[in-house]
Amino acid sequence: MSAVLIADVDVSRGDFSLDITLRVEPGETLALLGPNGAGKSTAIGCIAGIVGLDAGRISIGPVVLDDSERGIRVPVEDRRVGLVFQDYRLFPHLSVLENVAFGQRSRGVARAEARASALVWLDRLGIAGFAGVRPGSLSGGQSQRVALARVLAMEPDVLLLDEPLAALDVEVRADVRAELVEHLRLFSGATIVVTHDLADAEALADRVAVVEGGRLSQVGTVAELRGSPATPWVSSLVAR
Amino acid sequence: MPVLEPRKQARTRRPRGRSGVAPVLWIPAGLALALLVLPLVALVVRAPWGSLVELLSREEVAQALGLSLGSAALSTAICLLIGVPLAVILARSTQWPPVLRRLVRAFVTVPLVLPPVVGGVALLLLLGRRGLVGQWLDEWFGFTIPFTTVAVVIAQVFVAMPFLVLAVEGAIRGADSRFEVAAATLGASRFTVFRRVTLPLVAPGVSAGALLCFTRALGEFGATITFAGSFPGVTQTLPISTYLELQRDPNAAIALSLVLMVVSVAVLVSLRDRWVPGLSA
Repeated sequence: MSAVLIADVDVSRGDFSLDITLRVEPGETLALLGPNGAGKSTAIGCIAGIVGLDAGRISIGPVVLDDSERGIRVPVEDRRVGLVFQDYRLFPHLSVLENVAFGQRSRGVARAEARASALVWLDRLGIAGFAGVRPGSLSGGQSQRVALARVLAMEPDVLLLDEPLAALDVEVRADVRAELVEHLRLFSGATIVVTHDLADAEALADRVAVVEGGRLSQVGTVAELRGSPATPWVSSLVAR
Repeated sequence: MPVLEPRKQARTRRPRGRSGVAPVLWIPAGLALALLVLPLVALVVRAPWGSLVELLSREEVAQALGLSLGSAALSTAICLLIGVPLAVILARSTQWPPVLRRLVRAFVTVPLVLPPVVGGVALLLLLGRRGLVGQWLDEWFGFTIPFTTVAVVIAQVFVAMPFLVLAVEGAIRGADSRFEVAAATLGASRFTVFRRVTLPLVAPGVSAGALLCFTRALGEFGATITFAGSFPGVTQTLPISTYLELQRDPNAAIALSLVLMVVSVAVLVSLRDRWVPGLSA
């Protein structure tokens, strides 16, 4: 399913409050860009259902995931939201193949069928050769591909990536980023990439939403950010 | 390369060869160790090695050994079946009122500190022919538990359960919940998360707990003899048999003790350094 993601998110935790609205079209990749602690990860945690909303509404096309006014909150496991964690979180006790088959098997797909489709995804991401190994022996870039395959294999409605390149060594970052650009094309739904790096945002995303202190401070293309930075943080970022 | 002179100086000030233990502590420490080791040495030294095979191949020994291994295995299985869920709930009880948590944890720990004989009496009062529940079992089903093999297993479950629950609870609390969150985002229901992620990740803790549980069940004496008696082939487990043999045939008692010791040491070795966090409580 390819449908527009609209997330109106309002969360308060002590002194911190996050209040942003995002709209991502199917096939579009939005970079959620901001300094550490701006609320980027919290925002996608809300969409994935890990973090509860205090107020707001999240929908994917006609499907409502959260609606605080109507008291709707779809449980995490019933959302078709693919989240690639910053630390990947590959299950250490399962083979790469079983990791990727996990989503389908959890949804009741028979073992053989889930494995077959997992293998297809591993093949698409160029890591079918690692199907039988445990994640512990993979490199950072390989782990990231497995994490992406695991999420894509569950056929999500939207795709969320939390700092997908942050866990990687500097030497491999550019290569993995280039691969990720290719791999994100395999997905036809709305995609959000959380990052604090302008180069990552530029490479991966069509559009950028800048979050600072829990609020959107600027939305536009990287070129627009470069041309007229709206805040001191954006200015310093494009000047780097 | 930077010069490390000041550091070197500081290092020479440390006393050499000793780890800072006052010499006077060595005497009581040695005594303590001797008290733990020497009885086992005596057991090995005095064991009737020549007639060991003959003693252990007697029919009543085989019977007691079979009953002990069988009942301990069964009670370990029961502890796993009902103790692991209890451990999971305890580990995830952070939202409970603290009083309630402490109370439940105290009840789980009680059999560790309770004299087993008291446990046996308590079980009689609950499940005995005139016990709180036992009277109804007797009246409705004509079923009496005390002095049966069922009673042996129940007594073992009672005394061994804490070992399993505390070990598993500690393992779950120490486990990384990030994987469970990841599993949920992939569409896994709570039970699927438990079955396919939580449980496999704490498997070492579960197996350590099960081994300790099995050893405790195997060695169980007080609650068993009180609640189940000592009928050969029915309730006379290896420890009970050992105790009774000591009066009839000391050599047989030593041989049986040796068997129990070997099993216990084997469990200890298989656990190695995997000490269980929950057990220190």
